[in-house]
Amino acid sequence: MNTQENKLLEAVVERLLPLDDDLTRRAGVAAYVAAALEGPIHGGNRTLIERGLDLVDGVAEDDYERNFTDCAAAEQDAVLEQIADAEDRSVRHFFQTLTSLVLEGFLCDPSHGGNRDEIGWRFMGFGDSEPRPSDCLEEIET
Amino acid sequence: MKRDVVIVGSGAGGGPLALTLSRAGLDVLVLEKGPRHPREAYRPDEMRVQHRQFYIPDLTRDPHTVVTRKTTESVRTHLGWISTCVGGGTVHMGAYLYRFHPDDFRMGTLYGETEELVDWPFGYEEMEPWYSMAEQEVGMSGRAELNPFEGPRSQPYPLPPLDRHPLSENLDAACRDLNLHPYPTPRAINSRPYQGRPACAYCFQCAGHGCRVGAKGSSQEALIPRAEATGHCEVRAECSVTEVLVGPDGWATGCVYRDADDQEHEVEARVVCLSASSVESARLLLNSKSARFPDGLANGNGHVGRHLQFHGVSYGQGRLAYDRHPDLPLRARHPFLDVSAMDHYFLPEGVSEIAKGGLLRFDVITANPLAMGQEVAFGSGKIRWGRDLADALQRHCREGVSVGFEVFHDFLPNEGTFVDLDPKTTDAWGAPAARIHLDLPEHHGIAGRWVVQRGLEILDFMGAEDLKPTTLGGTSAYLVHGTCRMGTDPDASVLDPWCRTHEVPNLYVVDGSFMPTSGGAAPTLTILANSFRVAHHIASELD
Repeated sequence: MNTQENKLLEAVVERLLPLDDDLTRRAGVAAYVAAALEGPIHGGNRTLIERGLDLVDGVAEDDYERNFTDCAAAEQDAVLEQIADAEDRSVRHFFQTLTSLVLEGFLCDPSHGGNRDEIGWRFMGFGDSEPRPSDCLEEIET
Repeated sequence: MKRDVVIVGSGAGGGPLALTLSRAGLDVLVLEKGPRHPREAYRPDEMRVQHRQFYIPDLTRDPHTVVTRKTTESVRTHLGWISTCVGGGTVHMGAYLYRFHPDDFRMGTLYGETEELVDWPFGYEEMEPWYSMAEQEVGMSGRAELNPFEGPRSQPYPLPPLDRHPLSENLDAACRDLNLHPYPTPRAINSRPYQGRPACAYCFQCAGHGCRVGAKGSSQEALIPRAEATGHCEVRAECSVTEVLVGPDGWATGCVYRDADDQEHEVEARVVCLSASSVESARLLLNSKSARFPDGLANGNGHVGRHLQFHGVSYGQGRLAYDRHPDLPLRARHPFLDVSAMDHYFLPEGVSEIAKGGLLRFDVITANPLAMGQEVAFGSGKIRWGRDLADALQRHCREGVSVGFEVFHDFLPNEGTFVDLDPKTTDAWGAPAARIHLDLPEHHGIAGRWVVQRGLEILDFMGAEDLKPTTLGGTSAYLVHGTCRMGTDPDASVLDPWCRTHEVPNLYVVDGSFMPTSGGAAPTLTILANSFRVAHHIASELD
């Protein structure tokens, strides 16, 4: 992905998971998604996501005569609502797939590049109300 | 050097064979396609369960393909790949090991025999001592006397039940109030140190993961090492068998395998046992063509690959909010609820064409972050995103717990579900890939829905909310059987009652392939038990 495509991806990811304290970016979610689309597990979705992001920009142009990245947050949300509720099944499939990738980027084991510093886990309570996935085994090893 | 026995695969089929035959003093070689993972390699990484890359081959190099009613061309799939490593699927199983009910062996007699639905050539009584042996050998924890629906048993489980989440008491009470008969889920996991292996550490990553401490009774931990310790069993990992060889007299002479450096080797043996799991054992037979066996080894009657089954599984769950149930011990953190109930193993008349229901297995929905996040985003019909998703993710684990259940139920063998060789797709070495044809009889959805409803009623009785089925009439990725069914009629089966191929006197298929029908309960214990049974027979024949 080029710089503009990456910026678009980051902007969409930020609207899919808008968190205080810039947590989504700090967890590395968009970076995870970009890398995953080049990788063995999700590489097959690359075209779907690229086309979907083009569509997102297209809707922003139609409605606001601006790139998605130049729209205000509320405008961006309005664009994404249209995508999420699109009649076209393949558009909704794009939205679902991207949301799925965002969740991985936020909550996967950090060894895969996302969930940096376990930001996602802590956000959901893993480490306080829930044990972290590796807590039990770390106990055994010490 | 000619071995007594070569075994292809080291999972639920290969493990009992290796242990029994090497104990009998026979010279055994196990050829396992996958690697032997050290315990430290079993990291608690959810992505391994969700995406399976760690446990199964790279599909760009070693695919299966699948066609269904909705597809025209076959597509690459992980379906039918269970686990390619020393220990096979038993490495990452949830270790819920149940016996079949006596009626599971007699589906033809009970529900009308067809070409697809037949009796086993023996009954529960013949399998019983082998069930007991398998339970002792892998190390099982449970209290069988609490399940009134089980067939007779000659031995109790060797270990008492695992510890359970305190909520299991409430669930047991709810079941009993509804006139059901809950019992502790029998687990192939040490509740106490056993055979030199430690007791369970109660981590939260059991099902789908290899056991980091060695408490799970996998073939890798419980069977293979003891086979090797006899001095008569050699295991070669990363050795992929590509062909079974047959001599001019029609007897198997051994096999060809490819090692980790892509070098080919030939091994000679008096007896060859295929334990590569249903899809791959069938594929190996089909790819072992010769002048005598132009349609694949032991496939003169065309039955190799037919009657494939992927065990029926259905799921449901409900939510228990902390503030609504101060009386329930919801804040306890324990991975296992381990409550099972066999009360709905049979359906009332009139619900489905076949009056078979399923086995209910309750559990906490373990707090695994990614799965929880997906539940929050996708679990309510409409995708949650944006602020909605953010808020829900933050609240979810802090507000309560989810409790659910799995239903194991029959996969009816049918004409539309079988394995053959893909005419276009090969693996990276040029061997045709296994092509899975999948068709699901209506009964699966009907039985799944009915038993899921009963499960949801129990959760409702406990006061759970957001009750919902999550899968109805689904098929398991890990529980695969059929393809070389066992029978007394050589025109209608691949194997005789001892898992010996009808056509090749020293060739056996000893994994899940032999199963004529799937049983209601999950098949793993039955595969282990049958393998012990067949192994003892082979040992006595070779003496």
